Amino acid sequence: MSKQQDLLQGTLEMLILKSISLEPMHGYGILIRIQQLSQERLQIQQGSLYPALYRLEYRGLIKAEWGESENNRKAKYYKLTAEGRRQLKLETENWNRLSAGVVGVLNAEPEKS
Amino acid sequence: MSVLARAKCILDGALRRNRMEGDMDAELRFHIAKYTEDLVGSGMPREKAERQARIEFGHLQPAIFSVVNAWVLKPLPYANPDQLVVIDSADVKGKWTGVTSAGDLDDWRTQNNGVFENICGWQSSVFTLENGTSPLPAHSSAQNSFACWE
Repeated sequence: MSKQQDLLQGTLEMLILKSISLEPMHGYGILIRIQQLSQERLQIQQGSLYPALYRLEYRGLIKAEWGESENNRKAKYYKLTAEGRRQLKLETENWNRLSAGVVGVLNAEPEKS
Repeated sequence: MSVLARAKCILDGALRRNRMEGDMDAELRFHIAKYTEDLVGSGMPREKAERQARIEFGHLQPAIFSVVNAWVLKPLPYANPDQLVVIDSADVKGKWTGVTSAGDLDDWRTQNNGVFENICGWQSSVFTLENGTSPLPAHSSAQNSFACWE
């Protein structure tokens, strides 16, 4: 966990919503899943993850339940609420629009005369 | 809001905070255990892995607690929490005493001249409130405290 990548504000929360939309997960699982899905390009700071989770829970976008982990330890699992699913859809659309716009600008070629 | 309703609100807030901190503590311990297992899985001797996970995550724990306190748990029912200050007494050498006499407190109130909206005192005799199964540490406070929290 030594490499760390700064994320745009709000991006971490979107990535968390996406990760747990795939299946309910505990905090550590979310961290690993984001790293795997980003092919190790994104390293989430351990210190940012939990405040982001509690913020999302407080806003009613995710819900936590205690359950048993794969090795029978008690773990807190997070899942999306209906509101969280709507928020994820909205943020994904916004992100896609924004990144398409940025790519369009960055790929611009000089006009041939 | 009546005094009783406000007291209940404060008590509920404190209980929620207690429960949430207990949950957070258990959750972070789970995180450290999982991280240790992964380090061991990647070939690190267990003792070293335990030490590294504790060091790496241990110093983050207070930071996480304080961020969560500020972001999530902060809504104690004060109208303007950023305007709350603690006033303390100092001795002749300028050292904070941490104690103020009832007489001084009265003087502060009468000579306040609108600097502070209100001034209240509290006494740090600690006792325990019971709410069902959860004991809660509490402090007694002076009679006008609730007026300060409106």
